[in-house]
Amino acid sequence: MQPDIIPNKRKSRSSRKDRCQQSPLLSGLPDELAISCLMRIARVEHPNIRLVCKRWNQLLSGNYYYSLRKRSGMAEEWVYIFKRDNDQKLTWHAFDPVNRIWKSLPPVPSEYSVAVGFGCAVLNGCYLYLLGGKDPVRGPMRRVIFYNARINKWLRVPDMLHKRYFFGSCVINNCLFVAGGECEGIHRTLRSAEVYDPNRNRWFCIAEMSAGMVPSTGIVYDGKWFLKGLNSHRQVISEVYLLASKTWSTASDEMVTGLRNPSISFDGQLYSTDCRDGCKIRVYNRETGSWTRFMDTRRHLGSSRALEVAALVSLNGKLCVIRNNMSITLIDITDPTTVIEVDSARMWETFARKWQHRSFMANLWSTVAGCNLKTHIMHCQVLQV
Amino acid sequence: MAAPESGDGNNGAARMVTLISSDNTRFEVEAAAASLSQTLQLTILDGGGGGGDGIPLPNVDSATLSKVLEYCIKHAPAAANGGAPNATAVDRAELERFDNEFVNIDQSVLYSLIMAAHNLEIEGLQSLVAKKVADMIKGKSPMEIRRTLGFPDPTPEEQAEMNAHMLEYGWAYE
Repeated sequence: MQPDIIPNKRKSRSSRKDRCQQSPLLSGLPDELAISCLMRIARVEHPNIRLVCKRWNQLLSGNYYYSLRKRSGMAEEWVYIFKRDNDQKLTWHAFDPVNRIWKSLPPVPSEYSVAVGFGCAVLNGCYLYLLGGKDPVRGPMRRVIFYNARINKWLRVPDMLHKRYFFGSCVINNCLFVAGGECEGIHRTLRSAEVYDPNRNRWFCIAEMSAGMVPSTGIVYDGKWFLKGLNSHRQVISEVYLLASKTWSTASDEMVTGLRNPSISFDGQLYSTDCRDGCKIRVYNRETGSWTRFMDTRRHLGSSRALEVAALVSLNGKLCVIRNNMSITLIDITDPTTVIEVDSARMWETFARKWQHRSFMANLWSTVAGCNLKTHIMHCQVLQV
Repeated sequence: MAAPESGDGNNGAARMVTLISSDNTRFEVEAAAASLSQTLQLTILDGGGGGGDGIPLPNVDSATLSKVLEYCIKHAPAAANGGAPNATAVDRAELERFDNEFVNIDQSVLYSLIMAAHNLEIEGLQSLVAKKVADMIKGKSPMEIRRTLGFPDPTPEEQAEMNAHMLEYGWAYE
């Protein structure tokens, strides 16, 4: 699928005519008050209400509706999961935690369907970026695309300055930072780093790291970006980017050495799983400079790949643990004894059977029949609409 | 619910104010209830609305105003408690029951309430009625929504646009 670039198709004459003739959003109410009603409609209903009439579709296609929802605290967060099934194709789905249902999404653009080592990040709360990576045929990529959750479309932005895959990325002050990774050529392991500023819609070089690194873990904490990974001699190294001075320095304290995947910077604190299935969570204590046990559900789920934690994300103010079998656990940080198991894995099995059956019917070349539900999660993000 | 224009002389009782609807009906209510309206609050703080004067509300008719005041009287005690952080669960459940019943009304009345709540700036009522409209849409198909909200039947052109949209975003309707 080609990413759609929406042309700025404003036909001034006809749109002026439209505006004069257009019916109100709700007959009997001024538009301003109609919008105050419509902005409260749950996100799960949005595809449906777009079909009610042209004006509602226009309303839901513009930013005004969504910024109003955000300002009024009506915006809802959904979890987005990119995963690779046994057929190596990248697919993605969204989970609505309020209604506890999985949702289909527009297909991932083809250049990413078999790519490896690409980055994934969210800007503005509702734009999900895929960047870089390596295509098995065409090699490393500079490409950057993003999914706009408000209008449900994939779009393209300027490429990165360097081709890279298996690099580190993070978001600070709504700017997207990338560093290190691999490329082809003599200097395979990259030292270079760059930043994308969405307001200026371009990439800028930032200071290079002191050594090339293929990062395996990264975290933003205290206005610093910590990266840990392997150098070209396969030794573990770590670096920290100081936002204030725009420079890299080495980092080797207990925080970095104890940093493991997956981890999350949540509400100013660092959390990391302490068991493969996420039944135990650690927190970094900045006073003592050490990692300590934060919670233990005392219910070990198992050590299989399916039960392994794929990501920690922040969802509706709760710490959200996502496992490869698509199960989700929500933890209230203020009261870690309150652990909510979301029935997402069972919902997923039902959803996936239906979905795989459909895609099997649509693609008779596919050799995977609709029974194989084994997945490997690549990226998890939360988008607010 | 206060009857229109009762006599004075409630010495020691709560302060009363008079509101006058667009069709010239007078409503006497406790100042605390009327003060749920941000618009009225300032006038009332300035000492307006007392005695024989009354505050004219040219944008709100008597049927709507009586409904608005029903809401305000019910919600005034909780509002006086600063959003009722110390309200009991029973009190909150009672208010919720009242609210649910309160918005169980015709769409035309609902729309009049939306306008009145907006003009009078009664925050709680604004979100209550707006949410009701959103709830009326919940779980309905586009055609059902159109019927519920009194849209005319779609023109062939609108129908064609709808179909084109379905085709483009088919995955969203699975």
